Amino acid sequence: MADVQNTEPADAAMFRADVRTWLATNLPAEFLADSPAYSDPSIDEVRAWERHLYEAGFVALAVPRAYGGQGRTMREHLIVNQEIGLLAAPESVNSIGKEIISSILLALGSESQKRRYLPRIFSMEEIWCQGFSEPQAGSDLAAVRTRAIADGDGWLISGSKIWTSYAQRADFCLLLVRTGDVAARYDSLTLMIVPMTTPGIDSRPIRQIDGSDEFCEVFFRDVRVGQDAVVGEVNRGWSGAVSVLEVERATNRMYRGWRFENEVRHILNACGGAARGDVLTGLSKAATDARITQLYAEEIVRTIMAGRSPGATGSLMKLHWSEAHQQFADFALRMLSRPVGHVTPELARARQRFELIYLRARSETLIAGTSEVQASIIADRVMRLPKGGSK
Amino acid sequence: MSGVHATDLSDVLATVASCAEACRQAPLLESLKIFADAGVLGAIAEESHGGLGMDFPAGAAIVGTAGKALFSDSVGDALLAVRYVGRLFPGLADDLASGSAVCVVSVGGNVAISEDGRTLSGFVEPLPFADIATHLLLVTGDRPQLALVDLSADGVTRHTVDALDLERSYGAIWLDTVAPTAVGSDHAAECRSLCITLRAAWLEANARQALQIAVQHLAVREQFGRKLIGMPVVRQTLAHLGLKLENARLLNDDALVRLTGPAAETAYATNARVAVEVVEKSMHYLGAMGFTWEMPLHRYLRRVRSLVDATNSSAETDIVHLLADFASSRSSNGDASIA
Repeated sequence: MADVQNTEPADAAMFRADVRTWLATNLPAEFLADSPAYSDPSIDEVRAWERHLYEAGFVALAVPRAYGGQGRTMREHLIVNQEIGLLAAPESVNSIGKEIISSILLALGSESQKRRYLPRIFSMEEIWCQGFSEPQAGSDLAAVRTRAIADGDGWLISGSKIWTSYAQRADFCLLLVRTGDVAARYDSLTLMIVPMTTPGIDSRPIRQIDGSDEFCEVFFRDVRVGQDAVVGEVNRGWSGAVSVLEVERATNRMYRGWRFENEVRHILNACGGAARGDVLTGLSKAATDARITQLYAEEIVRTIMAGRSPGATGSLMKLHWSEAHQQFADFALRMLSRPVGHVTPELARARQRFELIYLRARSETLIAGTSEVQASIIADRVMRLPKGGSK
Repeated sequence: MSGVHATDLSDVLATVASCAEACRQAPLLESLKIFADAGVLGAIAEESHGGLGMDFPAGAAIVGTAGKALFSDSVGDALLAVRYVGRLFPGLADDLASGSAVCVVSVGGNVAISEDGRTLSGFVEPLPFADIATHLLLVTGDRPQLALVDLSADGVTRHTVDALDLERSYGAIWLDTVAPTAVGSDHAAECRSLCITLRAAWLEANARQALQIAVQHLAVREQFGRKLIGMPVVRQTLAHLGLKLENARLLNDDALVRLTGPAAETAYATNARVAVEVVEKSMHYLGAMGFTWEMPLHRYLRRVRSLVDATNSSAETDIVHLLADFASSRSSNGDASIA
């Protein structure tokens, strides 16, 4: 295979080296969950870290400069995700803003909305939450009941949302509301930007399985917003957002495959750097699953850079990752819980880390589209199975 | 990669499909001549050795096309033999490319090379068509060596081995201080990786075809007043099988481009596991008909299971090597292909 060009292009290699060097210099050891020096960073500390990352030019890589991005390509976006993923760095406290809402605003927002909101999302000046799910509208968002009624030169919003991450800390919410006839299902939904300090909003944190209070239930009682709150067209919120979310599903948290690899490496190190028997079996499977997740991400980037839509590839990646990662989390915790006599600081750290990973992994087959939703998408759009149906 | 355009490949694949169709009932030697006459067997051999100079993904596509058509041989060993024998012992390459000689390939046997490098001893795993092959190309040793053996040489014995696959004969080959026709270390590791990756592609293609047959059945078969394909539990199961095949394909594609040992081992191990599961589940979805000779599912199951059982490949690549391979991928093709 002497004729194969098997090396990274020089500019990409240089960029990767820059990212790696910067992270090695700037990411504190106490933020790394696989370091014995780890000390759970506060939300303010993570927010400051993410701002530092932005100032270094490693956030919003493929977003135009006019909107606070770096004006680079998805290739650099992938490289940053790979390098950050390989480190046990803190999870973003504004990933919904930076990865989901920014994508929707970029595609559907007005020019003034894009210039006003996007730079402050990326710089961490403003944290956003996403108000889509409701107690009676989880996977089926056509059942959304929170209603916005035209009132003078604006809208009055009433209803409630649930599973709204970081609502209690968010500066803004991108809210999906009913603005027309319920019978129209998806065709009477509108997206609105709602400042979370607006009178009439009440956010109540919900304690989660891992002890954190990321989720909230949010109540809206006659919350008034202006006409400029509407993103895209009235009653076209969902149909516009769904096409954006298809891409988002493929590109959101692209680092997951490399973080998965980091976790496998952590378990291997906790085992003393060698694995045999059932440990080798479990780690080999997990490493292969991590690699598959990475290959999906790379395929998605190739597709986008070729000017095509990733289509349902994001569903393949999400379903694979969420189920494989749950299995790995279970395996890792079982390995680490075996009696060893003397517990080293490294082993203690690994146990603490993977207890949280195990608990949080329970939600991975639910968030961002349940496994059942992803499987339906794969059946319909990847495999193109005939619908069947009643006789 | 050598410059093979999509149109070239589609022409070749059409040729492969028609060859496979033409020789469905023919004995292997006649079949290989049909493929040879169509110029397919030299597909991945270098042009300087009389081949077409196509890349490895093209080779996998050829193997996959033959697999879907239920052709009795994977063609993979023939492609490999022409490529590597052409380098090791060019005098035989023309015979292989023309189908007048048949070379089987072993990458996981228990054969040792004598200290002076002049003889081979040991045995190779059950191989398809070992009984009619004229030559054996094998990769052996920790520091891999590529060796070509004339199976008419002194010290070679062959034994037929039972296998589930009724369409291909399987045999073990024993070597007792046999002098090889040629030995070399160049490209031995590459040959091993490519061999198991092509086998993985063949397994994947067989599994996809079996699943497709099951889907076609489920799309028309009605129970409880509705088509089975419309039942959510059936669709969910099919989607998970489809996901596993896509996962396997991704690993194969990666291995074909990078061709490192760990990538190839991982691709093979995954395809072996997934192919058997998908064919078994496809058979289940055909109901009782799936267990009869009226449907071809048992043929897919037999050939997939027989190849998996015959290929002595490690199911678990050493984890340290695997992770090191991941690291190397980040500075190799992964991003190059995105550039």
